[in-house]
Amino acid sequence: MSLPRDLLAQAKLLATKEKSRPKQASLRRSVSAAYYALFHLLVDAAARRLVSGADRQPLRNCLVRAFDHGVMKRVALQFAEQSLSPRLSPALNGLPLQDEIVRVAAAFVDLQQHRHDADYNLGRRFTRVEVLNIVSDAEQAFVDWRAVRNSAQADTFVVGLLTYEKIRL
Amino acid sequence: MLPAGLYSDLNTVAAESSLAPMVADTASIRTQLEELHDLPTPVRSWLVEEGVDATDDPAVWVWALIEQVDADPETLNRLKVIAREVVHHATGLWAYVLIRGADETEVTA
Repeated sequence: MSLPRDLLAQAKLLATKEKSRPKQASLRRSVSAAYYALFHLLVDAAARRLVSGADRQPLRNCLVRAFDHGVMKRVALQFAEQSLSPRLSPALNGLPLQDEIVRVAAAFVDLQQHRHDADYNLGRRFTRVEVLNIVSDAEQAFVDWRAVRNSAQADTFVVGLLTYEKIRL
Repeated sequence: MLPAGLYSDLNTVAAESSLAPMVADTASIRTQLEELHDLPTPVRSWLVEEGVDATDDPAVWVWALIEQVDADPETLNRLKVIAREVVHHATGLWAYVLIRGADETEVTA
């Protein structure tokens, strides 16, 4: 399997690791894995869109290091709220955003924050149902992404995730 | 009576300090959520918190404590969208909506 799918499988495994009284460590690592599953799915898609060719994998490996979590969140929020900045909206060329891409973007915004809380906010306790639902959101994002990944809107999304801050008005 | 403009001046000062007021009225949001009818799945209670998220944006956290924890993901997603829209309409802020079982209290090790 690919890294994104392996991470998603790991997230599910960790969420159900203990039969009863799940450990916070397991739940927190599950949330983190769920975020990184979607993160890697999207940056891999972007890298493949921007640099094609089997022999260009080393270049794609460099490219994925250029993504910034904060910029990605800002772009994903615009897609989730269906309110694109003039920096990106012309790229859609009048095409509407599909429900699937809106859900993927919303899942990314949510998962990034949940990952941050899971890794750093010790004042919060996660519950099993809460984490299973977070993992389910990541799973649904994979399904949704598959449905729209070849569309112009998906290209706009992933290119925006990388370049948004550099696009001049 | 405060002089005209003083309130906005105070807000400006507060916004530049660590005492910046939040724009979300969590009690009001919770009331609005409690008044929702015909939800995709029954919600026993709502928890609402305000704060600043990982990218320093003000945001709202909503927990829906649900009865039917085995509700399908599509149903739960519709519930989250409804709650998110209530918060966005009330505050313009993004809501991080989380689902918990109504009976899930301190059940972790």
